[in-house]
Amino acid sequence: MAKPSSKAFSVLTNGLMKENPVLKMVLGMCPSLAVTTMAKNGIGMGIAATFVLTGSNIVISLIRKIVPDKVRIPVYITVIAGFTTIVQMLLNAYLPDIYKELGIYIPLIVVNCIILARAEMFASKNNVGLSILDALGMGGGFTIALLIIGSVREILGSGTWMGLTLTKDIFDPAVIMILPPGGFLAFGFIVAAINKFSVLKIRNREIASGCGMDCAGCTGEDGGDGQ
Amino acid sequence: MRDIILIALGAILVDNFVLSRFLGICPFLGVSKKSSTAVGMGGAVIFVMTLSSAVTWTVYKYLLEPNELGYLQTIVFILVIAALVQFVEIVLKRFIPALFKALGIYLPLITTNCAVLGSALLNIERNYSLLHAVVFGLSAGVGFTIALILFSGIREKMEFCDIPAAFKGLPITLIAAALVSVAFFGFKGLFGI
Amino acid sequence: MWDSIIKPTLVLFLVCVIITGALAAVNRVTIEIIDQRTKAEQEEFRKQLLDKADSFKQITLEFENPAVTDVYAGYKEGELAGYVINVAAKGYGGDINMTVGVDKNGFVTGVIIGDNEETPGLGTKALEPDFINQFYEVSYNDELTVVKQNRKSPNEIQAISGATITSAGVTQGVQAALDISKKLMEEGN
Repeated sequence: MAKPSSKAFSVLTNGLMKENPVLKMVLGMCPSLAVTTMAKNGIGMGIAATFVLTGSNIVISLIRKIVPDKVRIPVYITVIAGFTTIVQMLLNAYLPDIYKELGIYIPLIVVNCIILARAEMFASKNNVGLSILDALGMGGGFTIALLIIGSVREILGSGTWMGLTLTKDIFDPAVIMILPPGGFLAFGFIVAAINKFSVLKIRNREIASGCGMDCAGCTGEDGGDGQ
Repeated sequence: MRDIILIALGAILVDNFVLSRFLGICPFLGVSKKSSTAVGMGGAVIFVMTLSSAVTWTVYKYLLEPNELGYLQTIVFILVIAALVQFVEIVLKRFIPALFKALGIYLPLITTNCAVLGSALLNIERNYSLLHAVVFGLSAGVGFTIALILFSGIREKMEFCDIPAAFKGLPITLIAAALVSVAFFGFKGLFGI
Repeated sequence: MWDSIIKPTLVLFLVCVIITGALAAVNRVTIEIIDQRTKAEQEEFRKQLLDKADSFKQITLEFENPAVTDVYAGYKEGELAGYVINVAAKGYGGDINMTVGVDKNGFVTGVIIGDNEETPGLGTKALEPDFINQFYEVSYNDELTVVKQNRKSPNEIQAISGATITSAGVTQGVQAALDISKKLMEEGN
């Protein structure tokens, strides 16, 4: 009894910190940088992606035994694109503000490496229950990472946080933090800080391995580097 | 003519896909360690992006829009792009083996490159004509390539730098990218801002 | 044969059909909500911009300005109170959708900025009240010009530095709305 529940627990918490998809695995970089001008947008994107991830993990886990290996990837992409479109329509209908802020980055959830990576690595090999936990863990980790990056950028760049005025009136915010260069800058320093204080040192790991390990979009990178 | 030049300059320099829109970051960070691989990846992206802009635009305007199926956009585009990449791979292998040899290993990576899907979606969102869409796709690809090549040059130099332990690997790469992005930000002044 | 060609094709085809069906179902539900919300939002904007008016009527006309998307005339007890005009102005990152109110004397009653793709932190500064408030003194007899600094008269709109293109786009949008309402007023609509 203890064993399966502890496995479930480790699956759930795995994505939150140890294998945090953004901060540790370096997946899903585009939205992590693009929509994190405000903490609120980071949460919105995180929840949207978690929804897609949960949906696609459930479906892929359910059909994992029927899908022939040959058309595996196209089937996964179709499922993921389906859930992405559903999220897009739901956001447009019920949360129009978030929909407008995230814009083109909502349909781009389709090509978010995290989702395809989890489909390929986890959902296609595990039962539905574990796949849901995995999706919630990974999605939660993604959301937390986006929230951290978004908070840093919003506080430094606008002097506000989640709509609250913090330092705006005390000194002029550094606008560059909410402009594109600030995205790279904030992300770089956050990863450096994690490297510095993390128990699990990952300092010598190269980006290519982080990105190329499981992400279908990047699998050839190691080969590419060897050229 | 003026609008075409504006679209091209906008996509290449001012609103560079990688450095200001954050599209295609994964290959940007992953394939930019050597200039030679950067050129190969860039070439493949330009090729596929131009072609996919034309194809997705046509599919949307002549298939989806008249039938009020605009909501199938995302799913159709990603499948079209995936099929297109496969097709390009087969055609190149068969007829232009030299080009296939140069670009071949990068082609499979392109399906999930969000820059390709991004340009297809932006073409529709901005209501471009076919010509504008193709120009936009081509220029966005060129912009991606320029950013990639410039950045690979910087990373080759960085190999020999003494970097604090915590910054080794990804963090210093991101900070270097921030500086390149600041440099590209200067192009915002191009249209008299 | 079955395992290598037919089964994969069949599975892929079925997945596509099921997903498409699901999307069509969700779309049917959401599209109405989206439509209703957009309509309610537009109505709200009209009331906000012409608070005197008690009824609105959409006017169809041969637009000479492609930037203008919709025109509504507002009436108070049957008398014309002004116009509310939806404009898609050319901004830096694409269209800036805005709604402009013009009262019956030809003065701008307000500008509401809708969907746009301007750069957050730079271009969007020209969508904020500090910039927009400059329009509250202009009427349709003014020829609006954008100046970089030292605004001298109401018809000179001072651009926000770092957001010149957005500033010019918004100004042109307001100008288009003013032009239309002037024309309508002269025709006696």
